Amino acid sequence: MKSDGHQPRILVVEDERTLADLLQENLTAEDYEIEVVNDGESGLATARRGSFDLIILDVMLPGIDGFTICERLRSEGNDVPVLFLTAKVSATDRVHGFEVGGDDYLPKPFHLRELLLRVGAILRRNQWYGQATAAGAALEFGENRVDFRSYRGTSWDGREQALTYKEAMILKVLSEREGEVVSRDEILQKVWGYDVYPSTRTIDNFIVRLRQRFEPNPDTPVYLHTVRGVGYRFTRAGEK
Amino acid sequence: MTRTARSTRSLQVGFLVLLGICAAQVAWWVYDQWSEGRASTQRLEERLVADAEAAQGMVDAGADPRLVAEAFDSVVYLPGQGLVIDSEMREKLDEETHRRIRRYVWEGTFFLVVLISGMTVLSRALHEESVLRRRQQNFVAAVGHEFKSPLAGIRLAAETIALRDPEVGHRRRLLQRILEESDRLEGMVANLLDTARIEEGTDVLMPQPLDLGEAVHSIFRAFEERAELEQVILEHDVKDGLTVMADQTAVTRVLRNLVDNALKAVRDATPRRIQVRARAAGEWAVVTVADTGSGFDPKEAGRLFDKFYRPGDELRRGGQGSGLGLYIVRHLVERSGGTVQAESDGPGQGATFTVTWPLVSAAATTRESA
Repeated sequence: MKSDGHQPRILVVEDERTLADLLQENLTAEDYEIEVVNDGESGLATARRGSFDLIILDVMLPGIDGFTICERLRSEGNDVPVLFLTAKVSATDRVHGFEVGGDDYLPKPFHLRELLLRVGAILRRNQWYGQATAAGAALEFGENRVDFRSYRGTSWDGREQALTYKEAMILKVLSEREGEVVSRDEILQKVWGYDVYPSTRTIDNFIVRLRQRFEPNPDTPVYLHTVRGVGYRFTRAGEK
Repeated sequence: MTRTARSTRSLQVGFLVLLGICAAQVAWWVYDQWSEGRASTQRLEERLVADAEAAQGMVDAGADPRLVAEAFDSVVYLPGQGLVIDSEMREKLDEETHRRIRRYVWEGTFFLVVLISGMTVLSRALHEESVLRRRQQNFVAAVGHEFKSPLAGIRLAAETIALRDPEVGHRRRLLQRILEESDRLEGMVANLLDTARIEEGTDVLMPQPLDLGEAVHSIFRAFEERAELEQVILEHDVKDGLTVMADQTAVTRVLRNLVDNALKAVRDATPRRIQVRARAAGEWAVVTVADTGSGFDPKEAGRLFDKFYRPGDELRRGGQGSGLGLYIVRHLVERSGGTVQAESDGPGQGATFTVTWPLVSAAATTRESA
């Protein structure tokens, strides 16, 4: 995004003053535009108001907790990428973080370079999606139609489909390599980041949801095929 | 946490079912006795009637009613009325039946009361244990947070210095941050160790005459910088010559914990003001630490001093506090023969903590100095 002259805007919601100040200092030094707020309510309000490219969100916050903020933003159709930064590190917390729509999860204390790398990776993914959709904004397969820019589409039975950001990204990755087998790890890397988060099973859940949207019979898919033990394959023309 | 809560709940449900079965059993016994009593009454009644009829038959056959009445226990001869069933017999019979039913009702009730009390005690103990366990689990999470946050701050500040190589002034500010976060860690370690010592009973207090004003001043000096940085007004009003009988370290730890708590409480408040007052009241020195901060629900006042207790929801807290500070405060104050209590008009209304320590009376002071 830096290449097209747009300075990425990042919102930092963190109640620990030292962390908030130092995150601001370091991210500003990386040429990002930063806004910092210290509690849950202003976090949610600012996220709703501003057009951010990324939100770095603490989980334990005064007012509204980070998980709830993310959940509310997603339910309002706000798909801004969220990076959770938190001292809560149990597997349950991580899974919860992804369930509420988080994009990445970094436990405290973290390494500054790792944080910067992850931030860069998330922003690059957005950029990839932006460029990819600019090249091919619409996808038609069978009687299904998807517009990647608005995340909306119509399925074979005439129903309107509002995709989530992640669903659209997964469909984009698969359709870009139509006919080829794309491994779960590749999808994870493209859609979630350079690191393998969360488990590859998460992708299976997303595929199930995509099939329910677009396959006439989700149990015997004709567009989104499972290649056992490897990954997934997309075919534009229905294939038994 | 949920697993414990679930097993406690299923135990409670199990108890309730058991109680229901026992109550039904007792009710059945009472009913059984009652119907058995009724049946035997009826049988006896039939016998009495049969006896009376037989006796009447003999009289009708020409026997002397007086002799017949003597031959039958259950029949009496009343002049003018002839042979009748003995009313005393019938009353005795009824009385016996009622006595048995009453006994079973009483015994059954007693049995149920004992059962219910036993189960209540057991179920309450289980509930308390599960609450403590939950608090302990929250405590582990909270301690994790309390250690990780300052560590993250220290690490980030150090990495910033290493990565950015800032100019001297800025570098100094970053180092200052590292020191502050280290202090926070140190406080946390101290609280953990204090708690461990309290639990083991190895904390030794050495009460001695102590100038309370001096103690408050030294705490203020320690917090001055932080208060200024966080834009908090720290005020004190300590009467001169308040000498208490208490352990110096304990007094310092108590005051430090209370002021530290107040600083955390006023973080998001306006105005941010903390007042420490100390005065004499009879044989006691009364110290109050009042803040304009987040306060608490008055219903929680008693529980605040419980170990691991942290008011509010785990995720929506400011994130600071381990639930040990006030536990330590209460312990140290009570060990010195003093008292501590918390007051607040409600969330957002500020809070006042009042501590008392025994004053060294003027006479005692003179004696000691002599």
